[in-house]
Amino acid sequence: MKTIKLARVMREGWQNFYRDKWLTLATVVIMSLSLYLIGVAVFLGFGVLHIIDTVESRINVSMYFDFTVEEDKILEIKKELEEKSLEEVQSVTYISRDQALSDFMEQEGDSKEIKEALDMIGENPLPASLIIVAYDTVDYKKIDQYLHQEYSDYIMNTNLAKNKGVIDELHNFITFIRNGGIILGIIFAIIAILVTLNTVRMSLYAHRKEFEVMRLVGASNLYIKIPTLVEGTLYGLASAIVALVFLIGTIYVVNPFANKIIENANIAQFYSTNILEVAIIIIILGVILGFVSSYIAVNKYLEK
Amino acid sequence: MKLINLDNVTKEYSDGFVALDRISCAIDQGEFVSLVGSSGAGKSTLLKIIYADEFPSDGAVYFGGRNISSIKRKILPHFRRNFGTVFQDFKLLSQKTVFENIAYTLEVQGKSDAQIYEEVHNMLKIVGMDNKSDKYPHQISGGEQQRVSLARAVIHRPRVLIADEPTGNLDPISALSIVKLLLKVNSFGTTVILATHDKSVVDKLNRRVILMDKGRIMRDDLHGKYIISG
Ligand SMILES: Nc1ncnc2c1ncn2[C@@H]1O[C@H](COP(=O)(O)OP(=O)(O)OP(=O)(O)O)[C@@H](O)[C@H]1O
Ligand SMILES: [Mg+2]
Repeated sequence: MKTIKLARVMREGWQNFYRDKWLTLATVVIMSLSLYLIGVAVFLGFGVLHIIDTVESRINVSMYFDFTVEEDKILEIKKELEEKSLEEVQSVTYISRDQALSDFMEQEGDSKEIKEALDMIGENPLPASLIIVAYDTVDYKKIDQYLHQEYSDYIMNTNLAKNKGVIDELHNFITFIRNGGIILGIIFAIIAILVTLNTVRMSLYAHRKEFEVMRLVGASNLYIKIPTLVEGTLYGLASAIVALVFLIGTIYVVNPFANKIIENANIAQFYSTNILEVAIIIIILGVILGFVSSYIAVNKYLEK
Repeated sequence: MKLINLDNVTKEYSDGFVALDRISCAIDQGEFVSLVGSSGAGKSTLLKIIYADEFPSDGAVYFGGRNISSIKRKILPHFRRNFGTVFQDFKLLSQKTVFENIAYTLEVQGKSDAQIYEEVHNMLKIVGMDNKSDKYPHQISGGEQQRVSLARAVIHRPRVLIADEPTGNLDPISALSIVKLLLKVNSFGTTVILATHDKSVVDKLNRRVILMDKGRIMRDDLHGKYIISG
């Protein structure tokens, strides 16, 4: 209908939002708490996936070669592994005997005893190796079997046996966290959405009497509805911003603890690169929730 | 044909209570009609039937020759712009200022801001509220709220002003000022229908009085007094 002036109904909605300060405060507090919970669920999900990635990338199987095997042959095997034989393999890194020794020295520091021991041996006691990283932790067993079967002539040993227990356990743990996280996240989100719907409904309940008066002085339903939708959307937007501020605060508080549990996971850094996406998700979610809740509420209060 | 015609109207509420019992009457453009009768007689119900807030369960109401029952729901808000309404409890919007409350009636009709500004300020002067235009309803007295409510009811120049006990909550002086305003509105050609318990008001008016009892019209005097008795 031509008689509805958009700027006017927008202003109307804005006035509803900022004039009734207590109502707005109460609504925004509860709604931002819900959004905060959703945000925590999303962040936990992202965070756990990130930690899983970090941990998984540190798992590998090392393949140690007999001293007799030439470097050329090792590089040839590396190439084979990279190029054709196994699709489960993500990367292969060659560590020469010299490299292995200097890594070892660096790790141990300039300890006298070690230097003396090495001098006594007279030659480099460390074998050359290929470090193989798989895409998925479940594949290490298969890769290990394959290595023993194909390259048994060259291999001194592999270290999978040593890591096997850890890898299996980790795999179970990761699966558990993933599934549990998804279910928990969904439950969180549903609760938060229900709380939000109800909060906006309660807030607009306060306007119910006013809707009647508005109709009495000739306002069409649409003229009443649009400002109310604007009001609901503003609740959502404000709540999203409040929730975001607290989310970011939470990350910086929690980060040191997370880093203690998993070394160098640096959650905060991870989030700061993802914060924009999360911010957009939360804001869109807030706006949609505010809009939909007010839509449902206003339709309910206007039918008569 | 008169402006408002009630033809054998019966109103039975959803709980089965019959609030209006076969009422017929006609009100012409420009009339000033007082509706009196004891509590529960059906005055408010009759008014609601006229401005299409309730619909007859039997009989018909005509406005300007048109059967109100035939008006589509969607058009109702537009139809209601033929009326202005004033109630005992003022019904002002609490989050809007005096100015905005009056302006709202014009805003919903899509008038321009400039036009609204001018008309509302003129109206504020007429009802003597031009120095309080930025106050909120809770910051002004009951009599002042009723003047604002009245201003809102007539700002769009409705054909009919419905006043349901507009002086019910007011002291005698405030009540008198409201009645004077009603007469002024009426002198501009607006039909006024006033439901009231206020004897002194009705007696002073010396206009048409309709006496109701138990959903029926008992008397209809062109220059009536407030008489409620057997
Ligand atoms: N929505 C409703 N449902 C059922 N009964 C109703 C309803 N509204 C009014 N009534 C009944 O209809 C009768 C007439 O009510 P109405 O409000 O028209 O009386 P009134 O003459 O305006 O009284 P008062 O002077 O006290 O305002 C009353 O007995 C009332 O209880
Ligand atoms: Mg009444």
